[in-house]
Amino acid sequence: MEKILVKADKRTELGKGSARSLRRQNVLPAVLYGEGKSVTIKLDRKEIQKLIYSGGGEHSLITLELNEGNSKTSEHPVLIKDYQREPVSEELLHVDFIEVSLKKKIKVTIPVVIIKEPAGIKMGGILQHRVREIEVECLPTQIPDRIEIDAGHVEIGHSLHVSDITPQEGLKIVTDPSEVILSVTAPKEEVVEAAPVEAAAAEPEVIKAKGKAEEEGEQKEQKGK
Amino acid sequence: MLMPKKVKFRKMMKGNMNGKAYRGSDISFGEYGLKAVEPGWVSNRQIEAARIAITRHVKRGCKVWIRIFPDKPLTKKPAETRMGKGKGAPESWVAVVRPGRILYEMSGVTEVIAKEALRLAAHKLSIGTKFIKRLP
Repeated sequence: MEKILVKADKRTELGKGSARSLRRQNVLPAVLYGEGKSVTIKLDRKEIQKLIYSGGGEHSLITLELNEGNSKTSEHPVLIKDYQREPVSEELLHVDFIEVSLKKKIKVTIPVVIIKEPAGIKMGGILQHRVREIEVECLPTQIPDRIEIDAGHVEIGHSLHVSDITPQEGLKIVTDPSEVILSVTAPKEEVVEAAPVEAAAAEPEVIKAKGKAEEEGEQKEQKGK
Repeated sequence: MLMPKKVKFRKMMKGNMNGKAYRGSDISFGEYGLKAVEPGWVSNRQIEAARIAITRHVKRGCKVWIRIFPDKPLTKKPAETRMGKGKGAPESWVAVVRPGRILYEMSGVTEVIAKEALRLAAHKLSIGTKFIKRLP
C-alpha cells in the first residue's frame, strides 16, 4: 500500500464565522485528536475531497504533515474518523482525523468489493449487496484498501456470508460471521393492478389517547343526565 | 397509494420547509439515487407515478427503494363553499422534502439505464432533483 501524504497547517481561527470564511477560500477546517490531545487544523479542500471521494483515503492510513508555524513541521499517522458534507452540493465541510499508534491494533471498516459477477445474475436474478463494509482488527500499517470477494459461483437463491471471506495474514474480522454480504434473488414481475376506485377517500384510523377517550365518555354521560 | 395506516390527528398545520435534509441525504441501500435540490411537498400520487416510471423503464432485474413517505395530510374545502366553518376535509397525503433528501435509490442496473429511469421519474415530481452515485 502506497503512503498517502496530506499537508495541513495549524488553525488559530475558531468559531463558525472564521470556519465559513476559510471554506470560501477553499480551505477546509479540520481537527486532529487522539493520544490525549486535540489540535485544530486546516488543509486544502480539493486535495482531501479527492482522497475521500476516490474511495482510497477514507479507510487508509494517512501521514499528516502538520505545519506548526515557525518552520516547524511534524508527521502524524492518522485515520479519517469522520467527515461532514453539505447535503446538496456534497462538498466537504469538516474532517476529523484520529492519530493512531503504529504498534497498537485498531478496528477499522474496510469496503467489500465483488470482483466476479454472480452466476445467478446471468440467469436473470437480482443482486442484493447487503453489507458493503466490514469491520476488521489489524495494525494500522496492515490496513488493506479493500477486501475482494469472488461471487462467480453464487446462483439464484444463494448468498455469501462474512464467514466466506478468507482474511489475509494479520487481519481479524470483527463483523458477525453470519451476516450476509450479498444474495441473488429471483426477479419479481410487477403485477399491474387496476386503479382502485376512490382509494383516496379511505382515511387512516385515528389513534385516540386512552385518557381522552374516557373523558369524552364521562362528558357524554353528564350530558345524558 | 402510500399513506399512513394510523394517525394521531386527522389534520395538520402547514409547517415549514426551512433548512436542508441532513438526515437521509446519503445513498444507503442502492447504487444510484435521485436527490432533491429544492424544498417542496411531494404527493403520494407523484411518488407512485415516479416509481411506475422507473419500473417500466428498467423492466426487470432492478431493485428500487423509496426513501420518502407521505405522512402529512392536506385538507381542502369543497367547491363553492364560503370561507369559515372550519378547516376542510383531508384530501391527500404529502411528504415534506428538504434539499439534499434522497428520494429514490436503485441497484442491479447499469448507470445509463439508472440515469434514464431516474430522469423519467424526476419528470413526475414537482421539485428539482439530481442524479447521484454511491461513493466508491
